[in-house]
Amino acid sequence: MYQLVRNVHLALGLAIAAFMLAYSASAFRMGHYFLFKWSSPTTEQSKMVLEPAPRDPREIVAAIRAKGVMAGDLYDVETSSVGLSFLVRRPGTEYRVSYTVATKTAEVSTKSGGFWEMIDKMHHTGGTWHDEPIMSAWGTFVGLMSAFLAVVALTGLWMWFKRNRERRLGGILLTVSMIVSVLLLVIVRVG
Amino acid sequence: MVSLVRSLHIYSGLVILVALLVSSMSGLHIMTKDDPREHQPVVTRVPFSPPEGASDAEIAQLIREQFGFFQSKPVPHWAIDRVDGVLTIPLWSPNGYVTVRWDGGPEAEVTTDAFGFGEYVNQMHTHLPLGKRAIFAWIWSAYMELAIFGLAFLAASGVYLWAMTRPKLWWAALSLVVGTAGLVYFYLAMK
Repeated sequence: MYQLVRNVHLALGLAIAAFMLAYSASAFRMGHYFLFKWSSPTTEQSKMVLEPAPRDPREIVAAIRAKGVMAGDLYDVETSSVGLSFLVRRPGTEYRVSYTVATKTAEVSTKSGGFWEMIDKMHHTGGTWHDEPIMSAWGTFVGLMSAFLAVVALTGLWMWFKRNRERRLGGILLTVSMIVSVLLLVIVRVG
Repeated sequence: MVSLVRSLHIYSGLVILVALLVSSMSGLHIMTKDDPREHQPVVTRVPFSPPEGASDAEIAQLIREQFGFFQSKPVPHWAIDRVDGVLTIPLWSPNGYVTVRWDGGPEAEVTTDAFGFGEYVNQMHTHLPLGKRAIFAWIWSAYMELAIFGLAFLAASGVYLWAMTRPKLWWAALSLVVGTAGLVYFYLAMK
């Protein structure tokens, strides 16, 4: 039994190793952003005429995407007397689009970053509700990795319990951290 | 060396066990979450009468005490917004969001978004010790900060232990490659 649990712990632990490193790196960036200002996203402006004239934001997104420029989830659609504006977001890149009906012109402000911005926004992206199938697939991948993480944590706990060598100090560390963290979780929730 | 790293691997896992389980639950919750763009918070009008001559900061504090969820973060000065006589105060807590708009009349408009247990756990996993926070939430955030380093150490030491003790297991190598390749694939596909 111990050998089986050890193998499961190893297999799933190695499967999530890169994911854990990426998530801890992105969480460190979020918590210490002052160290990463150099990795802030940059903004570029572009303009394009869309023919034939699209009728709604999704068609505009599709038309711009057909030009190989934009993909992501659609947010904040606002209409005005001259046209409409909206936001399209995907990990690492955000497009703010202003479309003028009379000129059939879309002005696109693209904010994008490099590696650090990308893993930060991947960390923030989850769920299976996205406009882009690849982002929903990523949400499923995150769920799978999360399930693996729970199994790795619990199998690790079980294996520790079966070992004598780290029993005493491990028991103290586990007891203290469990009491403090669970108590905090309860206190912050119920007051 | 292997023995030392194994002991540290075990101790680290025990100390951040709750954080690992919280992060795992958070990932699973996010995967099953509905499209946030379709989410509608509850809007109510509630009697509100601050003392005569109170400053915006004092009113913000009063609003936090009266309408905020437990452990709502103190309102920073830059979040206090007054436009055309309407004061808007956003309140954030791991238990929910509240936005209060008050135009100087006898009532305030209170927009409430109360979090269920799954979202509460998700909010707690995002806690990092940034700025001024309510005290219990701040202590928890320090624990999550520790978990960031613990997560990275667990991943790195786990790979090291495998490489030093059981490197010939083909399925373990495959597991590492598949997990890493999956992450790289999504990175490239979404960029």
